[in-house]
Amino acid sequence: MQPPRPAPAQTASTGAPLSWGAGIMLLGAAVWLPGVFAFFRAIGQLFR
Amino acid sequence: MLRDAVGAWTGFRSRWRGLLLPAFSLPLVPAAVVAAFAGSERLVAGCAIGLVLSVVAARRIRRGRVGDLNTASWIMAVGAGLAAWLAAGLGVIVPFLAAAGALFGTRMLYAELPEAPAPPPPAAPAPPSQIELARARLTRIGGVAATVPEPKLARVADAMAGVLDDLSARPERLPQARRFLAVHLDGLERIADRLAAGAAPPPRLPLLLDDMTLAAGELRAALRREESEALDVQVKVLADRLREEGI
Repeated sequence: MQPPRPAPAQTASTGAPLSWGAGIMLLGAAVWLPGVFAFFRAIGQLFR
Repeated sequence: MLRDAVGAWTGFRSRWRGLLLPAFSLPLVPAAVVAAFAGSERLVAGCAIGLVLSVVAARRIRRGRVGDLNTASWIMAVGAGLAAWLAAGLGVIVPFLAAAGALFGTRMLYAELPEAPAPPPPAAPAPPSQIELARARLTRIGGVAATVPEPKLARVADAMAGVLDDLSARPERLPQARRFLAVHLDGLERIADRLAAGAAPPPRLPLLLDDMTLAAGELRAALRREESEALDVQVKVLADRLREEGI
């Protein structure tokens, strides 16, 4: 059984959105882009 | 006000924590489907690994315990690196960069969400009580009694089990039965062990077993008598109180 999730911090850091935004960009570049490359590579292999 | 807004945003994100990771890996789904039609096993394997590891990382982050974010970020790094190498065919260096990006990206994305400490280990089970230990010994004696040529052994074991049943109902009477447990049960256990080892029952054994059965019955009667006396006293006290109140 999962433990109850902790309540969010009452006073969150105002730097959180920046950290979140940077994380989004990094994950987009590191995970999403290679996924797109893989898709086009697969299409290229399909029509070879 | 800005802090309140950020706090509300953090609360919202806590409910959906971890779900962005598989969302970023979604392009691998159509890639895997097309690669399967193209017959490229390497590509399919890369897509599958990337997808599965992103789901595993998401589950770990949703668990929300201390250390889960670190583990999940390494899982994402491995998944992104392998997907970039096998599925996207981006050479050797770029997959390492993709892995590093996934590692730090995951950490930055979920850094400010709180993590709970691990739950405490379950409490050790309580040691068996004296009555439970005695019952286990009697059960063993009963098993031995079925295999030896002495029918009265089982009868004594049953009589002693009756005493234990009475003691289970009223454990505070245990001090009165301590001698019984220490001497009679111990003696019966030794007799059963010797008989099980192949000893021939001596001529006096049936008489001794009869005496032990009798002793168990007398102990039960003594316990019941004490209960009756206690009830008698309670009834008398209650009757006196009611009389004092004029009823």
